[in-house]
Formats: sequence, C-alpha cells, structure tokens
Amino acid sequence: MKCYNCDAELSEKDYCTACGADVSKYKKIIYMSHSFYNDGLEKANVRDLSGAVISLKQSLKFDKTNVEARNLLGLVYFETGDVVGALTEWVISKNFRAKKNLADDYIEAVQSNPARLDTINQSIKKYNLALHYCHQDSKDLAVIQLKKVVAQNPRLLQARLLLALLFLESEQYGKARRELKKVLQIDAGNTQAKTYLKYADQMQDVGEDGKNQSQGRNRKNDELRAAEGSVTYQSGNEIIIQPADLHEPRGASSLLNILIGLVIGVAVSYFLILPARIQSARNSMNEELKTISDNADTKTTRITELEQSVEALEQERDQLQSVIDDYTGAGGETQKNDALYQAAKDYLDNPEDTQAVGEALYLNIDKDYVDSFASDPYRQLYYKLMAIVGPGISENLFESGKSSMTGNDYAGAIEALEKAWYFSQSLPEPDTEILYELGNAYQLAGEADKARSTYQSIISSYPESTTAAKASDRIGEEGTTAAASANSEADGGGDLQNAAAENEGNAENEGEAENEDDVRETDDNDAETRDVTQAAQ
Amino acid sequence: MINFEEELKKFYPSLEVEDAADAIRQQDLSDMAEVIVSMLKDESKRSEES
Repeated sequence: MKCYNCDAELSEKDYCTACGADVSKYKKIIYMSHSFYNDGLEKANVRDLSGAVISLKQSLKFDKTNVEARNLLGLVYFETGDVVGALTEWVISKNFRAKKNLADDYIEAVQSNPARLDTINQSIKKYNLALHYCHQDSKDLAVIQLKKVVAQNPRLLQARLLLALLFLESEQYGKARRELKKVLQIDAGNTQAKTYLKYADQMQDVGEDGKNQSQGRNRKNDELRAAEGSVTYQSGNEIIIQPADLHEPRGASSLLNILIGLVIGVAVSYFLILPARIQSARNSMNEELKTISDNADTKTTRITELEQSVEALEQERDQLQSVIDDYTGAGGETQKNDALYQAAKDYLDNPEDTQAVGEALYLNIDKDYVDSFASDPYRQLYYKLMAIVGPGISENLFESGKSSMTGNDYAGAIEALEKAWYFSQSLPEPDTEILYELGNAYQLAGEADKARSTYQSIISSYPESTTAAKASDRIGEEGTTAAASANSEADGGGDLQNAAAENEGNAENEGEAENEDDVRETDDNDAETRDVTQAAQ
Repeated sequence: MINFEEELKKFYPSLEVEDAADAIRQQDLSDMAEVIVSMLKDESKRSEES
C-alpha cells in the first residue's frame, strides 16, 4: 500500500512516515476493498456467482485500483455469459496495471478464438431480439430464438432465465425447471433462478393436489395412462410412455427372436432377392453369349473371305509361276534365248566349227517356236545362223543318212535324216529329197504310219517338187500292199481296201514327174520299194 | 404467483462485442478512496491556511 500523497510505501502507522499525511481513513478504505474482494472470492469458489459479483463490485467501489478484484469480476462475468462485461473489466484492469497482469492472459484467450467470439456475439444478438419479441408479446418467437441462443451459448444465464420465465408463463413447468436447474449449476446463488424454481415446484404441487385443469393437465394424462396400463417417465428431453406390463425380452426369447429374424431374412433373400440376381446374371450371360456369337459369326465370315482370297491368290501365284517358268524354266523363253545367244557366240568364236553351232541349234531351239512365238530379231538371227551353217550340215547329214540306209542302219539313218531335214527346211530352198529319204527310212524301219505322214507332208507342203510325185507313188504303193495284206489275213480288210483305194485315188490326183532325172530316180526307188514289200510279205 | 410483465422488466439487453469500447469509456470509475483522498487533501489545505 502506498501513500496517496507522496506515493511512498506505508507502514503499520496511521500516518505516512515519508510525508506525514494522515492515512488512517485511507487505509480503512483500502482494507474494506480487500475485505469485499475476499468475500467475492469465497463466493466464486462455491459458485455463488451472483453473490461474488455483488461483493466484487463493492470492493471496486471502495478501491477502483484493486486489480485482483477487477480481474475476478471479469472472470465471473465471463462465466455467466457476459463476455462484453468481462472484457470491459479486464481492459480497465490493464489500464491500472499494464505489466504483470492476469488480464493480459484472459484477453488473449478470448481474442485467440475469433470464431467462438463471433458465435457468442451472435447469441447475444439473438437474445436481444428474443427480449424484443417478449416486449412485443410474441412469446412463441421469443422461445424459438432463446432455444437457439442456449444451444449456441449455454452459459448465457440471462437467456436461460428468460426462457424459463416464458415456460412458466406457458405452464410448461418441467421445461422451466430444466432450464432453472442448469442456471443453478452454473450460478448456485442466482436468486432469480431460485425464485422461479420455487414457483415452478409450487405450481406442480398444486396440480397434484387440486382440481386445476390447466396446471394438472399433464398429471391427469399421466393418471389416465396409468389407469390404462401405461407408465410415463422422462428421459432427458423426452417423455417416455410405455405399457405398465411391458417386459423387455431377455435371454432365450431374444435369441429366439434373433433366429426368427435370420430365418426371415434368409427366406426374403432366397425368394425375393436371389431370383432377381440370378435372372440378372443370366441376362448378362446371354448378352455376352450373343456378343461372342456375333463376333464368332463375323470372324467366320472373315475367315471364309480370307480363305477365298488365299485361294484366288494361290491360283494367281500358280499362273504367275507358270508364266515365270515359261520364261525361266526348262525350255522357257529365257533358256531358248540363251541357246540362240550361245549358238551365235560359238559361231563368232569359231566360224569354222559349224558342226558345233548346228548341234546347238538342233538340240536347243525348236523351229515351231521360232516360227510361231519368237520375236522378229530372234527369228532373223536364227535363220541367219541356219543359212550360214545349215547347207553344209544338212548335206553332210544327208550323205550320212543315205550311208546308213545302205548299211541297213535304219535307226541311224532316221536320226541323221531328221537332223538333215531340220537344217534343210530352214533354208530358202529346202531339199525335199531329204524328207523323201526320211520317209523311206521310216518305211524300211517298219514305221509305216510315220512314212505315210512324211510322204503326205511332202505332197502337201511341196506339191510342186519332184519328190511330191514320188511320195504320192509311194503312198499308192503302200495302199496296194496294205490291201493285199488285209486279204491274206483272217480279219476283214475292208477298211484297208478303202484306204488303198483312196490312196490310189489320191495318187491319181497328185502332180506328174517334172524331168527325166527325177523319173529315173523314181524308177529306181520303185524297184527298191518292191523288194522291200516282198521282204515284208 | 409470478407476474410475467414485472419479471420481464428485470431483463435488460446484453451488450454486444461491438459495444465494448463504448462501455469501457462510459465506465464510472469513481470510488471511495478518491473521495476520501480529496476530502483529506481539502482538510489539510484548510488547516495549512488557518
């Protein structure tokens, strides 16, 4: 404690030892303030917040600088929901003592939670609005607002008291008692709450004893329910009405109920849920099958198309292969071309060796191909080579053939004469004698058909030649011989005779011999033919 | 018997947070100590003058 005059520290004396001022009365004032503070503290400890507020206010009336009293007063205000009052006291407390003041912590605690502060502020506004509704006699609206307020800010005692008053006014004593008891839990010394509670108790007691319908309505209903066999009790905010003889199922009966429930659940699942699930599964399977079937059909069609395509491609490949073979295979165009080139090369390398060139041409090149399919340059080269080598070779081979004929080597004669004719026929003026001799060789070798066809080819291809007549005579002679053979045999020779007659007819229609040398040669040949015929018979 | 109207008069609007500043300014901070001190000071002046 300090002196009011010189601010010196005071002793136990009634005067200031520093300035001598009389401080007895001043000290008493300060002591009184402390005394009321102590009283307020005691009441706050036992939750008599209303009493604590009174004592602390008294303390501050004696000494406004009593910081402890002011801080405690702020705490009590905060506990009763008066946040603004609390903040006011703490701010003033800070004003009197700026440092080492608990009010700093209290203010910091409130300001650090702005959301909570805003909620409290909203609840205060709603409380003020509810109070306004009460003044306007809109009690229902006030009740609605106050319910929201107590939900938002359960410690706002004024709101609870006002709500309790409204419940008392509307004779809802139970609800009023609930609110009042909550007020007394926070502020045990709240005189207003105690007064209202006493009134609520009185009014409920009146309803039990008397005939007051408005007061005892709930009680009467309770009695009625009890008469009907029901019991009413309160559980929290709810009123429970149940039959008097209600027995909670226990033990075996509950287990039985559970089993029955399980059986019913299984039955419901089996008869109601399962078929639908099965049907759904079936539908999905059918859909999948349908999709798969469609895909299979599509793929089958595609496979068929591809197979047809493969078949067509194989045919085309075979055709192309055959075309390729025609060109590159054995006997193909490429080979034919190579054969002619090789023959030409052989001639160019050694023009004297016409025999080799002739062999190459004879063995590798087909005259029919040359005449029918070969290109003009190919044909020209071929005939050019034949013109160079052909005369010599054909003459040599003709002589060789005749020698073989003389030596009765008819097979060798045929071979040589065929070769000779190959070379001769390509010349501008083929020697048809070679062909005639060839026919004779066939004839002597017993190949009459070949002989006939050879003679026939002379007649048809070279009708103007001298050998054509000889061939024609030869054919006629063969026909007569064939007829004679037919008559001497067991089988009928009608056909042969007809053939002979035709040959004679044909022979008569053939051309005549051209000059004397040819006629003489023909006579010699006729003599040989007769000898051959007789030998055959 | 509780008279609703009479009881209602005991309820006052609560201060909102926005009103806190005004409430602090309007606080009556006079106390007995100030009164006593001023009285003592007046008495001492008078005694000095006399």
